[in-house]
Amino acid sequence: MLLNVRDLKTYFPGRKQYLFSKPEQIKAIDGVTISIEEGETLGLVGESGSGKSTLGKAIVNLVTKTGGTVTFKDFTDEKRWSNSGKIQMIFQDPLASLNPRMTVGNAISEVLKYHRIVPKYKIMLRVKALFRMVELSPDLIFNYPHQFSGGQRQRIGIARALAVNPELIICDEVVSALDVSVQAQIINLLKRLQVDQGIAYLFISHDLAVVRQIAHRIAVLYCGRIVEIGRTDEIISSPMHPYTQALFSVASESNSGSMSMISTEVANPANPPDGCHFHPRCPIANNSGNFIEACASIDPDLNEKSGGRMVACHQI
Amino acid sequence: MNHFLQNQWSASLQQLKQDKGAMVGLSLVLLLLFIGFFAPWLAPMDPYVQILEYQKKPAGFKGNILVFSGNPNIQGDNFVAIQSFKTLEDSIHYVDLLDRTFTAHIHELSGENETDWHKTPRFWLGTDNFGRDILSRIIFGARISLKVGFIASTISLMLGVLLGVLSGYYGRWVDTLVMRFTDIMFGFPALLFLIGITAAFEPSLTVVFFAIGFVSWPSMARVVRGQVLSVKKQEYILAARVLGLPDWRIIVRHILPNCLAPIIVAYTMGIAGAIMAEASLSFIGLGAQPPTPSWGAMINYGKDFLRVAPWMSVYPGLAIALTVLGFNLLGDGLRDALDPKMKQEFR
Repeated sequence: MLLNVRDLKTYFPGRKQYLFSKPEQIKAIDGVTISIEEGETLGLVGESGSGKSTLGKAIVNLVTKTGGTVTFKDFTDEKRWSNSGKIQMIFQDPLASLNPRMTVGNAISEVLKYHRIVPKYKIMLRVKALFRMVELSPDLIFNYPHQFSGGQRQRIGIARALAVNPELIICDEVVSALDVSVQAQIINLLKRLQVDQGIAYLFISHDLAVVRQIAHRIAVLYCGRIVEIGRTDEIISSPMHPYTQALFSVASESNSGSMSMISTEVANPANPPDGCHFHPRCPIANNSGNFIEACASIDPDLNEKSGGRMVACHQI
Repeated sequence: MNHFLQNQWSASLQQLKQDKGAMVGLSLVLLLLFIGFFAPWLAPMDPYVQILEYQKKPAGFKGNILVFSGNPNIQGDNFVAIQSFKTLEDSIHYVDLLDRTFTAHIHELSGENETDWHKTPRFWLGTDNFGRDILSRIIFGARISLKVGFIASTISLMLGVLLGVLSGYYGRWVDTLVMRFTDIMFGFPALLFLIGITAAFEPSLTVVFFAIGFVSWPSMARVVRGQVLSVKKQEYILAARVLGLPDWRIIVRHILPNCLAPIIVAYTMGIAGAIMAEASLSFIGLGAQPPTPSWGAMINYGKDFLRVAPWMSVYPGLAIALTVLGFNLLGDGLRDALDPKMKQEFR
C-alpha cells in the first residue's frame, strides 16, 4: 500500500452569523478513506464543490487537516515524508503554476539543487533529460512560461514534479484547461510515465470521459464524502449509487434523461442535509416530495458490495 | 493576459514613456540627481561663505568683491564688498560700501591675477540674512534632500518588506501582531512621532534618516502584505511548497520577484514623503543644523524676514515643491504603468 488516507476531515471556518457566535463549519472533506497502490491510478470524480481539490491538497498538506491520518509507505509520521517531495501535485492552470519571473529550466534546477538529487555538475543534464522525458525539446529550458503553449506548460509542470522522483502524483484537473487533442497527449504521457517509472496517480477531474481513460479505480465524491468506489470498468458498466448513475447520465449524451437528478442544486457543505447528503436530489429516495425515512435521517456507511466495490446507499 | 505577460516590463516601460506626467516627473528627478551629484561644479559660490555686506539682496543682484587671503588656519578667504578699487604698484586702494577708503598690500589678496581676487558674482536668487548665495545653498541642499529621501525610504523599504512579508506569508498571530502595530503607527500623527524621536536625540541628519525610516515603514508593510497575500495563493507557490522548498526560498525566489511592481511605486512615493518630512523637521529646527544648507532650514531662516526678503523662503520652498512633485508624478506614472488594473479602477 503506497498511500493510506483514513477518515480524513478538512473543515473550513465559514461565515459568522452573529458577531460573537461561532463561525459555521464548512465540511469540505468529511471522513474520507481511500488507499492507492503502487503504480495505480485512482480517479476522483465529483461535481464542483464536492471537495475533490481539497482532498488532494489535504494529502500534501496544502490545507490543514481537521482530523484523520495520511500514511505514506508505512510512515505514519507525516514529517518524515511531507518535505521529501515523494508526493507531488500538478495543477489545473499550467500558466499559473509556473513562476512568471523564472525560466522554466531554473524552476526545475532549483528543485534539483535544493534537494541535492543530482550532483551540481549534472543538474543541466538532468533538467534536459526531464524535458526529454515529457517530450519537450531540451533547447527550451531558457524560455519563460509565457513563451509556451498550454500543453507545453503542462508538460513542464509534469517535468518539475518528476524532478524529485515522486512515487505519487496528485493530478488536480490537469487537462481541464487544455484542448481535447492536447488532453489526449497529456493523458498518454502520464500513462507512459506510469508504465516506465511506476508512479501512482490520484487523478482528480470532473470529466468522466477523461478519468475512464486513465484510472484503474474510480472514487465518486459528493459533498465531502465518498459515495461509491470501485474498478473503473465496473463503475462505468454498472454504476450503483444513484449519484454516480446521474453523473454518468449527464456525461453520456446517448443516455440523457433516463436517470437524472431531481434538482441541480449541490448540497451546501456548510449545512449539509441530514441523513444521506444526496437524498434531496435522489430519484430513489425522493418520491414526489416524500423522502424515504432512512435516507432522510440515517447517514449511510460505505459498505462493500463485491470485491472492492463499495457504495454508500441505503437502497442498494 | 498573455500579451501583458509577454512583455510585462517592456510594455510598462512603453506606457511610462507615453505618460506625459510621468516623463515630467522623471525629468525633474533626473535633473535633481544631476544637480545633487555635480553640486560643487554647478554652484556659483561656496554655500557657506558669508558676505556680510550683502545681506538680503534680491534676486539678480550683482556683487563687487575683493578676495583677501585670510588666515588659512582659521578660515578660508575673506570677502570684502567694495564700490571701486585702484591698484598702484604693490598696493591696492578700495572704497567699501560705507564710502571709507582703505589701502592694502597686493600680497594680502588671494591669488595672483585680478580675476582671482576681484569678483563680480551675480546672486541669481538673491542672498540670505548672512549674505550667502541662495542659489548655491539650494544646489547643495539638493544633496541633503536626496540623501534623506533615498536613505530614509530604503530603511522604510527594508523594515516594511521584512514585516510585510512575515505578516502576509505566515498570517495568523504574526499577521495580527504586525498589522495592529501598523494601525497604532498610523493612529499617531506622523509629524508628532517624528518630533518625538528626533527630540530625544542630539539633532543631526543621521537621526533624521532613521526617524523618517522608522515612521514610514507601516505603509510599505501594508502594500507588501497585500501583495504577498495575493501572490501566495498562486498555484506556483503551492507547487513550490509541495516540492518541499523551504519558506525563505519561496519568499525570496518566488514571492518577492512577483511583488516588485507595487514596491517600486511605494518606494518612489516614499522618497517624496521623506523629503517633505526632512524639510518639516529642519523647518522646526530638529533636522539639519545651521549652517547646513537644508531646504527646510532655509525656509525657517527666511520666515523672520518674509516682509523684507521673501526670496529667502520662496526659492527653497519652490525647490521642495518641484522635487516632491517630480517624485510623485513619477510614482503615479509608475503605478499606472506597472499595475494596469489599478488604472482601470480609479480612472
